[in-house]
Amino acid sequence: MRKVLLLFYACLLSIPALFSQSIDFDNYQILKSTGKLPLDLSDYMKEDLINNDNSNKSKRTKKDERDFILQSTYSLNKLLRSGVVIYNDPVGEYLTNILQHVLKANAIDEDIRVYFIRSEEVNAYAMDKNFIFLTAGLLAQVTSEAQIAMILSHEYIHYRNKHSRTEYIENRAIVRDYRNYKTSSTDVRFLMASFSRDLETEADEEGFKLFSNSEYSYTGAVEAFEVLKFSYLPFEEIKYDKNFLESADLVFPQDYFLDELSPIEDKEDKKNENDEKYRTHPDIDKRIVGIQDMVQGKNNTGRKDFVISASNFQDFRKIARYELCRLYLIDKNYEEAFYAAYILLKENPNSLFLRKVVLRSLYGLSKYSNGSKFSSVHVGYKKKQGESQQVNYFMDALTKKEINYTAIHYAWNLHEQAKDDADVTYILNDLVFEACKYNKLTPYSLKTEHPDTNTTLSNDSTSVTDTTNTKKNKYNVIKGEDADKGKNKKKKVSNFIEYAFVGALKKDEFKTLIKDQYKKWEEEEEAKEEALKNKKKNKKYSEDEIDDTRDIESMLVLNPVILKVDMRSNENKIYNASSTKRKELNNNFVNLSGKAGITSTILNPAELTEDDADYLNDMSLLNTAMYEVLSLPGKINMLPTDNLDIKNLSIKYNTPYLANIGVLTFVEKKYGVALAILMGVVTMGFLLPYTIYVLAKPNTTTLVYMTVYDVEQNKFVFSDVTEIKSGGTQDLMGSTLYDMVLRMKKNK
Amino acid sequence: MKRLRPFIILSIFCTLILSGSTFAQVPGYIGKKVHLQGGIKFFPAFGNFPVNLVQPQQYYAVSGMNYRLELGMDFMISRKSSVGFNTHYYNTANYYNTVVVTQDNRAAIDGGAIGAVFKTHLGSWVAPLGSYYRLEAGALIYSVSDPGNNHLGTFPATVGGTGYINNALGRTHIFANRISLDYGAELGFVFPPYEYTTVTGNTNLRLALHYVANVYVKIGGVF
Repeated sequence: MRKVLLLFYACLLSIPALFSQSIDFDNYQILKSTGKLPLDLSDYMKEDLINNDNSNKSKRTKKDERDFILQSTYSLNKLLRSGVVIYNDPVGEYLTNILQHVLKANAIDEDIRVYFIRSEEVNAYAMDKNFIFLTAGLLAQVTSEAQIAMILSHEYIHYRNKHSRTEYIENRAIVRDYRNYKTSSTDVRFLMASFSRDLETEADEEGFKLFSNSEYSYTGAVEAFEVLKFSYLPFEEIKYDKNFLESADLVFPQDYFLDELSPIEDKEDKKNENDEKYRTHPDIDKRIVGIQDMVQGKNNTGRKDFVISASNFQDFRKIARYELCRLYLIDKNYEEAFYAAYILLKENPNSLFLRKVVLRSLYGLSKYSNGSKFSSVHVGYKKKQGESQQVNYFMDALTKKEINYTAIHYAWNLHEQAKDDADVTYILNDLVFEACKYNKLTPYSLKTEHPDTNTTLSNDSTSVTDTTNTKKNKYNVIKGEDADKGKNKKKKVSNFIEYAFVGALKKDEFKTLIKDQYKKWEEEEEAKEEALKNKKKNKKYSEDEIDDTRDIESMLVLNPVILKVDMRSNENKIYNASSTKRKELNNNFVNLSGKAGITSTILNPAELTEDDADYLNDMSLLNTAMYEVLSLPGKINMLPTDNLDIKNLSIKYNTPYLANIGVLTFVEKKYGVALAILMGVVTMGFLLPYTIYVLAKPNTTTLVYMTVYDVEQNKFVFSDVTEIKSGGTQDLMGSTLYDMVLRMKKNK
Repeated sequence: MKRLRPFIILSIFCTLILSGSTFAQVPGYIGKKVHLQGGIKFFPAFGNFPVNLVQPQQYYAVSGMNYRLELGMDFMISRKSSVGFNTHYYNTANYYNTVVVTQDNRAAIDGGAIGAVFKTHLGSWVAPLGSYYRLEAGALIYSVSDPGNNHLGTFPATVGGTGYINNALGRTHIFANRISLDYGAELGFVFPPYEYTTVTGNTNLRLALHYVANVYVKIGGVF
């Protein structure tokens, strides 16, 4: 039996190893869930509720616990169905194996799983159910398995000791005391934070005890906290090469780069004592000292940084870093995505995925710059530390035109190497079009020859091969093992960007590209002028426009948002719609859009079953895509990061239209009710109609919105918000949404 | 009545033509573009101006039971408006007591009206749902009869007619995507009589007061 178990365990361990051989980092594909999904939480909840009922605790504690069980199950259920968590993937398996190794070393036999989640945040979470979540941001930062083992041991203690439950109940008690005037409002914050810090310290101490029984190196335990301490920095500290974006034709002036970078300072030092009082986690330096004290005197010989597999660690961390690049792009952290891809390109210089991340970062920065929204995606270099500061300084130094041309330059080079890539071609065309529109690019405005043939030009940068820094992780650099300061300033060449396409212009394809996009821009301008003239002539709405219908036959709809915001008390309370109400609206919407001649498919997480991994992946993709395009400012239209995957999704569901609908109801405070009643009584009923009016008048506003995105045209084809002074009843939602669907179809 | 017939036919004809031409292009309530509804209105007490069959110039009365039944149909013509027609049947009886006539007597007024209706919905409401302003204009006919139980003898029925305009503010709710509940308040105007000292003149005046202000509840359906 033992042999069988050992064999089974070995097989389990070999899954990640087998997987690692098949990862194609050059054409990286995002991680997807597979197999059975652990979505059914009803057993956990039932068991919890029965245990709670049978316990000998006070009535109040029982009630608090019951509330916690219901709320935490609800939140967990939402998280599990959100598409953020990845199931049955090799990274999750690997992380689970690390935790299982620690537990086995402590003779704990528990079925607890670790899930890898798509999040930039450097964090790990545990609730009181047997799930631990570890973010892509954290996995990208760690440098050894031992560090992960320490973090997971810490989280396991949170789970085992039911810290989230204890904290919830304690916080409720603190609030109750506040209501009974036993404490002041500032005390409430302090007490809550203080209790949370105590739980963290307990998790550190007990987690370390578990950790110390495993084979993992003690240094990993200390380093785990250093990872958290410097988590605000990129995952590596590698010097940014000036010539990364340069070529024989494009050389940036030296003063576009900083001579000296800001040193990495300990952010913890800058926090004052008051801040610390209200923090939920103890001061990180104190935690490091605490761990160092625990490690002191312990023999580290024979202990390892890697137990499961060092090569798997490298591969899975790389996956996390690649995933992180995508997450940065989706969240419009273009400079971070740019630097992350730059670091990873050192190791995989031919990765098309990474080059596309660089291109998309430049594309995003250029788009926002042309749309006068650059500041919303750019972080000032003074706020940055370390090597990545150079990137922010460089982006700061570039003008609107220079960013646009630099992006075209990079896109053209990439297009030359990946001619069949639809994304690259689209972005290149779009960037050239924008240059014509915003930066006065014409087929004849670019220089075709360099002014001075003796100008020193740097090497072709598109292949980054300098790997001198790759062996040092960021913590070596922070500790002062790497320093590169002082550069010779060159004279700024103001029109250097005009010469960026001297080489490219020798090719007919590039010339045709500029001519085509310039023509497109001219046509668009003419059409605009024509439309303006027509508008002036026919001020009234023309009947002909009604017939200008879109041929929309079907839509893929994101799960509708139905929220009620109660604004009557000081703190706004937000209520999510019940599953019944949500189901009613979904059915209603499918019916009404059917009546308008449109077949709607709603991707609803409530309908997910354990076998619907594909459905979950589709939902996650749709969620991300809609979030990305909806968070773009009005004037800016951009190709979404997962464009090719979304196109495949649209083929699968047989529609290029992605819709997002929602109903938000705001209940506001009513004023003058008492006065109206008083007046009705005092005037012996003479003002009763006024009293009735005030009492009956709804003080509720409902916003119904719908946006429809066309995947083929990469733009919104319909967007509307209707505000109605009434509650979000089914008749209102149905009528308004039907009207919207019809108007969308009629192109009004 | 004959005089009004062309006007009534024209109103219905115009309503149908107007609604038919734009019928296909409006949302209605989830594709339902016809709203049929019926309801009842109770006349307020201050509308009980008496009709004196004996001496029409005198007036004094106690309240009688007054009601008006309505049945109408609206056709959606745009996102926020509809046109239609509305028919009324009303019945009112009042007991009157005059100085000259010492006994209680009663004059029964029966009548009907037909009017063209235009509704426009307020705010962002999509017709026929939600708050609206309603304008109704049409012709009103009536017949004043004597039940024949007074000591002065039997009086022959008198028939008359006039025009009216109603302005209303109301609100419609729809349940189960089919049933509508409509309520509101209205202010009306009935064209005054040429002569006040006749039975028809008295009746006209009485109806004018009946139409001044009303509240109503209607139920119906959307199709």
